[in-house]
Amino acid sequence: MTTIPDVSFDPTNPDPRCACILILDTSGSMHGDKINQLNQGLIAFRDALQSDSVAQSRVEIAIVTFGPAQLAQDFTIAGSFNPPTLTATGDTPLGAALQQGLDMLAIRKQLYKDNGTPYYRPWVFLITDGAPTDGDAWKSAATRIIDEENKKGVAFFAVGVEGADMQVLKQLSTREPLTLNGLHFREMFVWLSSSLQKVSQSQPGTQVPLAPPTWNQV
Amino acid sequence: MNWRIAKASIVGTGHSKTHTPCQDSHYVMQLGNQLIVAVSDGLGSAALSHEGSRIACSASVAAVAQSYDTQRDVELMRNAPAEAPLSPMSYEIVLTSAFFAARNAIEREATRTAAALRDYGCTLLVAIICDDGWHTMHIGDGTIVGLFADLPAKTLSVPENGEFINSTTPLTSDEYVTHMRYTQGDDLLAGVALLSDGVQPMCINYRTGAAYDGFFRPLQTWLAGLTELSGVDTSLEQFLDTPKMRQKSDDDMTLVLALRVP
Repeated sequence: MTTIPDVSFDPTNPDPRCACILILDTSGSMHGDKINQLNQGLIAFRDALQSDSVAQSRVEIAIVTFGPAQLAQDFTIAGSFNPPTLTATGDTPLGAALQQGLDMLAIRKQLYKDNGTPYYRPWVFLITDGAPTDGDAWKSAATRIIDEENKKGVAFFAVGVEGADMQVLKQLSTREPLTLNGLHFREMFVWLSSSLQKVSQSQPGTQVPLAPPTWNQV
Repeated sequence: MNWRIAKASIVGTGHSKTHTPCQDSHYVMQLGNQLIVAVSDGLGSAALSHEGSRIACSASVAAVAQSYDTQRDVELMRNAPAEAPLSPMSYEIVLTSAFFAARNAIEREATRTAAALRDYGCTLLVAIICDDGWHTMHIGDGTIVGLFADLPAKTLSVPENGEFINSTTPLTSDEYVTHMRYTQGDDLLAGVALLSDGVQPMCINYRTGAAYDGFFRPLQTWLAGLTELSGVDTSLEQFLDTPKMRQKSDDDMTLVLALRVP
């Protein structure tokens, strides 16, 4: 038996990426305990992702908040993700926030393609406790989401917190919306992290079976 | 003309975590001056893909050998010289038949065990290296690389991925026929390397599919310089199992290296 001499690796191959965009309702109705629990949930999300050496170098997080719809956190690799502290104010322009999130995702995917970075199907994770206040804007966003879902271009998850218009959420996606039980944001974000960890370590051809969420059960 | 071969398939660290077996397989056969190599990677999502990859490799190589026997019989009946090479066109047919045979063998196994065909999902790469060139047939990811004495390593067949890195079209897909890719060339290869996608991050450029010579050259030099061939597969296994390699990939890894020796 002999030892094989040292080989060198193609230095231009980047690690694969799994983009995840959080679209978070920070309207006035989220004020108080809800926004505090959401902020603590984001910290738990960061900690869970950073405890996994593969996920922290593959998962990329961005945050869009509404209202108004704005970028709270541009795409950051999970290893250096530090969530902003969100405050609750304004109305609920859900449609505008979804459009902004989908635009950011399209730009991100193009960047991956241009750089030759392999990537997993990106995730969009919406959390809201209200009904849209920007008219029918959410309807064209819904068309776009369903179109992307059918092309398997994104995986979209809508989560309704107490007070959310579940009828609207149902129409946003082919996937059933989830209801957050009480204010279990922490459990929800730990679930999201473990799901992203699984996806970001999956092998070619894999349809990743996700653990059933436990935070939406009464 | 003879061949010097090193081959290894090892289970990925991601797989050991979930207690799945190594889903990669390989099979090598020398027929006269020719070398036939098959590599297959069972999909992580398919429960019996380790069986699928094993069947795909052995059935495809056996089918190539069977085709040669048939062709020899035909040529003998026509009083053709026994050593006459197959025409280039017939290699594509030989390899296509071999893929059909592999698919059929998996279908039969799925019927026998009453499992779904997709449970056996796997890629398949087959290369035939002959004195006057090379021929490959390929479905899914993984890469076939030609090795040269005085030229950099060159990709002979690139991986096929979907938009996302964790998607590819397996041999068990309904559309498998349209995803089978044949390539051929008349390069005089010093050798060939077949690898599963677990080894791609180190040596195959994601964007262009080009082989990275800095990876293949030391392996080629090592194999060519060996004076003792026993334990050669174990050495290759240990090489794949080094932290340097594991750090780049937690997937199963397969590498088959074959060099001509005069």
